[in-house]
Amino acid sequence: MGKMLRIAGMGLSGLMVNRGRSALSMLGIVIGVFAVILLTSLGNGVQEAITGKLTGVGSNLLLISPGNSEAQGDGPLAARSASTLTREDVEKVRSLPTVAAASASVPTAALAGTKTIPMTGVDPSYAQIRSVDLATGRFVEHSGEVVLETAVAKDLLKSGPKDAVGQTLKIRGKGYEVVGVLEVVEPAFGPPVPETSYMNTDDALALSGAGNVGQIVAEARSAGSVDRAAKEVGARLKSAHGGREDFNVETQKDLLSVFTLVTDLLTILLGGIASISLLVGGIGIMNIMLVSVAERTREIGVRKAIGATDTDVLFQFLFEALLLTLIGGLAGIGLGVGVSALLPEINPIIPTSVTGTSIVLAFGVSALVGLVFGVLPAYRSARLEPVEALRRE
Amino acid sequence: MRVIEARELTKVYGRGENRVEALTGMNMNVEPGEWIAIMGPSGSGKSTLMNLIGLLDRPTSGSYTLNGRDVSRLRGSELARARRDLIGFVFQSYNLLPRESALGNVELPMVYAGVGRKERRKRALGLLETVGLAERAHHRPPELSGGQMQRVAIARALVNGPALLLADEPTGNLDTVSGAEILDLFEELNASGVTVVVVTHDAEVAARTQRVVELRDGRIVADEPSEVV
Repeated sequence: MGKMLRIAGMGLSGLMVNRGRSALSMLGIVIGVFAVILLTSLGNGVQEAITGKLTGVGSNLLLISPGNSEAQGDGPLAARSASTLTREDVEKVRSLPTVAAASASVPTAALAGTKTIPMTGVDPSYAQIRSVDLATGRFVEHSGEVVLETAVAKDLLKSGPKDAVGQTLKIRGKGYEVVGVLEVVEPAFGPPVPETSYMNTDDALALSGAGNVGQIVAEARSAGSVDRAAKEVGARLKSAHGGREDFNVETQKDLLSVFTLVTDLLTILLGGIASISLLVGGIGIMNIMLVSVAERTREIGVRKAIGATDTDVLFQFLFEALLLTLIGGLAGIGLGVGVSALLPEINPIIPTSVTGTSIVLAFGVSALVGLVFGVLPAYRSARLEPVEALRRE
Repeated sequence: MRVIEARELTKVYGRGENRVEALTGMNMNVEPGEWIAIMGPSGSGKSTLMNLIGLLDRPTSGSYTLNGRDVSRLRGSELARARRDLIGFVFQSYNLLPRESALGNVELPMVYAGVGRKERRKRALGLLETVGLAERAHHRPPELSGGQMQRVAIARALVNGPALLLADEPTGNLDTVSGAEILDLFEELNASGVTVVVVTHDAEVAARTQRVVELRDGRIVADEPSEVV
């Protein structure tokens, strides 16, 4: 052990002989590792930003939409035909044991005075399912009530959120009581939270003249039962629709997995591109080690003459290459972590996230590069015949 | 037990037309405590003999017993270990590692032998004192004179307690005074029981030894006490 340590020390002093050259060949590894750390950090940052926003929306969510790829086979009109989901379907979904709550979602537009505002007809449980935040008041519970967007309330009623509650809004001549005002919704990833005001499902159906609901949103009892709930909903609706699967059941998991797949691929792609520079750096190391072995042929001969075995010499040069890449790797990791921390400071839109895995991986890969590209020069040095090596000047 | 027992030692380089017989059927014995010069003009095979005796190279045929151990068929790491434990080399051009101190150079063979740090330091300092360089222990080779570098090399050669001190033209790069001092040192070491073999073409060096083996065309042509030469 002490012997190995001393031989490792020889590797280190070998690097010190030609500091400038060692530093330059190390630079290739520094840049390679830096690129790997930074680019995977960007990939991870994007992934975390997306999944963070998505899971914030509610992972128990089920979205049931009309239309299906199967239906497209029935002709060009089939896909865009009117909604196939009915109010009865909402009741059927709601009655399933794995479903905690379900609501219809009827998109329409309401003409109030001279302005048209986006309006969605929903059931009272919608607020809970989609985590609708109210600035003030309560959500729609009965027919004849509306909940307005902040901007709409300001525009139509010329009043702030607090004062709007209790006022009456006339839509197509019919008065609706404003019972609440929505919190301003931040733009988010995931299924878009529509920028809309809300009214009762029945009112919306009456207003739009549509027979069917646009979409059904439901909440599974727990995050764990989402898949089961989705299956049950699918089976129940299929039988209700006479065996036709003219609807889609989507879960957050589907969305999440699509995004995760995309961002995983992104991270792998970025990491792969960066790895090429690491590879180039490794070749630089091999090049410099080959030069070093050639220059030190006589030294190798002397070492062998006084008793160094092939293995001793091999390890010395392997340690030298390994040290080059490990020191370079550490510097690259430091630089990568530093720049990753700095980027969001410069521009907060750039998401970065350095994971422990990427650090360990970068360190491991640079060690591997040292081993792989150090083996050839080290082997060459070990195989030198002492008689030949001593003859060299 | 003899230090060296060489029987029909032959070394052939190349094949076919390029075949050169550098050493042919050589027989030689060296007893412990001897001081021997191996002489001969260039091309006589003395370098080849030194490489074989020093375990730097392997004979094509014949047997070589060093300190009672048949070493003629050893290869690779076994050969390196035998070299480390049984042979101490002194070269014409010293062959010290320029970046290591005198002490570091003397310690090196012990590093490869796996001797612990404290023991290494103790033995190396002791030997530097023996060769008269105790106060130069921390100087690097470029800061030393030729004679001093050769002393460091001799200390390095002795540090693993070899069966044989093998010197190749040890005074070849030195002025007369330093050369004489190095030969004095060999004489002292030999008097204390170290077996010394010097390869040289210098008759004056040979005259200092007890026995001279003369080579010509790969064969021993004379092997006599040095007074006769």
